[in-house]
Amino acid sequence: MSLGYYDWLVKVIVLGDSGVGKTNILTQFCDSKFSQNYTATIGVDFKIKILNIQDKKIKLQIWDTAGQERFRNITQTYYKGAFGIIFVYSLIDRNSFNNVEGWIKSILESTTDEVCSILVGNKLDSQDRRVQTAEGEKLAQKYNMPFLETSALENKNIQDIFDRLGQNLKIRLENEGQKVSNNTQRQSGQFKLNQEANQTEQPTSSCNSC
Amino acid sequence: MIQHNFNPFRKSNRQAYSLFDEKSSHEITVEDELAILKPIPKYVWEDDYYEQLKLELKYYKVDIQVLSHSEWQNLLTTGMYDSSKNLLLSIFTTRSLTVKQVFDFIMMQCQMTCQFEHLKKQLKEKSYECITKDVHRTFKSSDYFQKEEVLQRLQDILVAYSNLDSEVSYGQGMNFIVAGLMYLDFNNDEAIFEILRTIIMDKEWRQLYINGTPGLFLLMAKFNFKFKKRMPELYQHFLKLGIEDMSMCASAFYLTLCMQHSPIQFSLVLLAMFFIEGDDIITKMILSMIKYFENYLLKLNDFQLIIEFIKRGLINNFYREIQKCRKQQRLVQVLLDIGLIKRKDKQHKQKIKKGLMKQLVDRPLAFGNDVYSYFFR
Repeated sequence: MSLGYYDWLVKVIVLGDSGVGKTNILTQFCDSKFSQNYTATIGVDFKIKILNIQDKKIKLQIWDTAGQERFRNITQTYYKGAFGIIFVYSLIDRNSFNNVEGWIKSILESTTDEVCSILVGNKLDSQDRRVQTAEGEKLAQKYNMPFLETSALENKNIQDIFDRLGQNLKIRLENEGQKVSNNTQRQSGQFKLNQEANQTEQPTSSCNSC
Repeated sequence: MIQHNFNPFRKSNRQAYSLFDEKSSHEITVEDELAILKPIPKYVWEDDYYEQLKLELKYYKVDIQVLSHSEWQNLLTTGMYDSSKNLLLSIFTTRSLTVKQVFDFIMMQCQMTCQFEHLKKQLKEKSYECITKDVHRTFKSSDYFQKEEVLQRLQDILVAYSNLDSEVSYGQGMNFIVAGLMYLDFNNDEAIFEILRTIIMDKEWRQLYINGTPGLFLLMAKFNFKFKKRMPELYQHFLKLGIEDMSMCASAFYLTLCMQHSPIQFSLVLLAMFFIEGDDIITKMILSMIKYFENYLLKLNDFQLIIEFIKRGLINNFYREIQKCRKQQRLVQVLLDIGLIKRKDKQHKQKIKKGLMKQLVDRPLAFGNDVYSYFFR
């Protein structure tokens, strides 16, 4: 097995208000560092990371979006073909928590496919907490998704976000894989999620031959 | 590797270079935003290319004249120039202007409204949370933007604009435009405010920042269309890798007006061109840059590498390449190849008189002016 080998390629989007720490979570997870020199994300950014879930390798193509409310329309054009969504709010910013439901709704409106989501309350390291754990849990329950409180600064629970998400993705992908196993055999080479619109409900698993 | 006494006009040398060629070009590097934060040179271009440019333009039969050194001085003092000369190419190639003078040139195009002083005061009933957040994360890696007073100035300018235009208020990307201009360190906050105001209000850039960003959608649609038309092979290549919409790498260029991942002196030239020509020039420049690196991009087979290169490396590498092309004395050839300027004979072709039938077809249809009545009247 070479380094580039993976079982599935999955598109994941990170959503949430401006300044809640989306980019920091990703740099902590992908590059194992917390950068004090972060900048505001303009447009959209990408990270790639291969995740090991039991015996499977899932290649995550993570889309890091701009958080400002007015860019939501352009962000929505990136939803297509996404399998995993990470909703982030900041524990020290009440507004970001209030807005997170809006982000969830925007996903529900624009995608008919079932997506694996997770709710994340970031900045656990701060003393000045404005959102209680119970509130986050309640919201996560309402939309039936896992919930975590994290700190990108102290690297607390960051890996867990992706492990949890990965578990769900794996179950999801395996189910899909059984449904369309006939299709997958015809497909050769790599599977690209966002190549065609109809591919999202077509084959979701294929072996990369490299 | 620079060849001395290289004569581009000799026949044997003419085809020596293709657009991007690994042997004769710089190594491609993708840097972080620190590239913008290098010390600023006095001139945008290191070498004087005026005479050479005239020779080359003549050789390639390109019917464009550029402003000479004295004409630039005249333009800066009186605001007048010979309109038969091409300002766009002049500003792109000249060494006559220092970086400061390019800044002054841009300032000349703005109307001073003298509102900055009273607008920069924060209003009590208004929230500037978004500005405050972003001020502290703009070019964070530079020492310059660690200083409290610099950040305060940055905030003042953004607050002033926000107070002036409550519908737009503040959109992410504006912070980089202001910060880039501030980094030039001419200590003229009012001018920077006026430049920002002119860009957004007078140059129709409002549509990019207002809620829903309709202008951005329009520009990206245009961009995608032109990209597909000009570089069909590259378009197919990108499609195969899952890049179906160029907005994921190009939208930031518009929102920050190329001020984020490029040498600031070159951004300033692009901004000056934007003031002369309008938004089309940004699309044209980005496409030309992609065209220049088309061969390189066709060889890349990785989604992330391509996006990273276009987002962060494109303008930096292009600027370096152009500098190199000047040293190799083949600037005009490159500009022709990437489609920034057009040859003389092409323009001539359009002027050739059309045949009788063509004239007839082109004439507006009116009563008694259709083909039928022409022959059978």
